[in-house]
Formats: sequence, C-alpha cells, structure tokens
Amino acid sequence: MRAAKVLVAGAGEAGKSTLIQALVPDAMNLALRGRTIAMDHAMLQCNGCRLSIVGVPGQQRFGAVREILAEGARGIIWVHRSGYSTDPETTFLVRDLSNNDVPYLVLVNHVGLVCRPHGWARPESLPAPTMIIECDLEAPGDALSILRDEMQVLIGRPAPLAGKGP
Amino acid sequence: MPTAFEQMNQILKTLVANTPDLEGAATVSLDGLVLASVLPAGTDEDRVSAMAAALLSLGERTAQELQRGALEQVYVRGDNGYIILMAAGPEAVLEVIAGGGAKLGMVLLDMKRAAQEVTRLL
Repeated sequence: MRAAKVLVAGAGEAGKSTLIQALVPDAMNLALRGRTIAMDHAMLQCNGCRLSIVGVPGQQRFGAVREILAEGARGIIWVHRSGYSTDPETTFLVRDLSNNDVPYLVLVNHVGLVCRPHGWARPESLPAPTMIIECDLEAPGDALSILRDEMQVLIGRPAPLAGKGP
Repeated sequence: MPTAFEQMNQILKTLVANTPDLEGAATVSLDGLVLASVLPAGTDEDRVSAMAAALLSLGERTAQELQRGALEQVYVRGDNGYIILMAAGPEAVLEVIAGGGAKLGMVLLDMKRAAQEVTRLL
C-alpha cells in the first residue's frame, strides 16, 4: 500500500518538529541548533492508513525546499504558534496546494501559555480548514488522537468550499 | 588588515579564477545563510544557500543511514555541469558550480585547499 503524504507546515518555531516527534518519537529531524534545515520525516500507521509525515522548514529562506517537499501532498497540517498572526509563507504554500484540492487542518500550539485570540485567521485566499485543534504540544493530552483520526479523514476527502466551515 | 569577510571573498575569487571551468563559488553557514559568494549574475544567493544547507543535511543523514561514514562531498551533475558541496570546517560549506567540461580531480583538489583556508578563517 502506497503511503499518503501529509505535509506539516507553519512558521519557524511554531512546533512542527515537536508535533512530528510527539506522533512518532523516532522521527527523523534534519536540524541545526533546534531549527529544521531540510525536513522532518516519519511513517505513521493510522487506523489502517499508512501516512508519510513530512515536516518542512519554516524559515523564509527555505521556500524552495518547501515547494519541493510539498509535491504530491494529500493533506496539510498547518501548525500555528498561538499569539502570532497568520504567517504569509505558509498561506502561500497552503493556497498553492488548496488550488489542487488538497485539504488542510490547523493545529494551534499554545506554547506554555493559552493566548486569546490565538491569532490564526483564515486568509481570504484559502478555503476553510477541515478542523482547528488547539493544544500545547508539550502536553498535548487527547489532541494527538483527535489529530490522528482527522488525518485519516483529511486524506480521504476533497477540500471544502471556500468560505464554509470553521 | 582585511576583514574575515574580505579574506573569504578573496579565497573564493582566487578559487574561481585559478580553476578552469569553475563558474562560481560560495561559502554558506550550515543553517543556510550565505557567508560570501562569487556567483554568476542573476543567481539568487539566499535561495541557493538555503538549498545547499538542505542538501548537505540530507547528504549527511543519508551517508549515516547507509553506513558510509562522515560526509565528505555532495555532487550533483546536470546537463550543463556540476554543483559540488564540501564541508569547510564544522560550521560552513563550500559550494562550487562548474561547467560540463571541468576536470573534476582538479576542481576537488582546488576546493579542498580553499575549504582548508576558509576553515582557518572561521
């Protein structure tokens, strides 16, 4: 069975690598001093689905690396650091994939502090996410099992219409 | 007394000038920031530097996974020539682009010398 690629995107230090390590503790992280340089990768068995989880570098200068890694993605997890505004680099990436009907969900990471509002707002150029999950990835509670279930749904359905949903 | 940046630029200029078919060179930090470059006009050096760091990082891990030891070089060949990456000490990478007719042995030898000079500077 061919694995479905799920992209984990978001701004630098949003918690993308932390999420992937939380899902698969022995995930590969190509990083330097805590910053992902090339990619994260992990294979995940999820309710009968085989997922290839690919984390992209968040720093602006790695745009070309993000574009390459995004090819063939079936779903996107947009990790957003609570308290920050919606990041334009990730917006462009998600928009390009959404144009090809690739759905996305948003995981708001409250890094040790719950911020209200959390700062993620759907850009006009994007359809609605299939779900918004909020948690602190240092202590995710049941958020990871919700995420696993939603990932299975994410890769199995088309993107929602713009302007609908959360 | 020239600054470290000026010295590094000079090392790259000498490398490109003295090695036949070498079309450009750059030094890049391991986290993908350009340190110095002598690249052809029109090259987006920030973009190229980030990609070089990503390539090196992937190369290192691939070499580890396949038990090939510490990474020495990453070599990419296209229709129009070569891109070669070589570590320049623990903090930087030397990247060169060469035409299709380049003598690789000569290029690698000159790169090694330049990488040693860059390492001393850093």
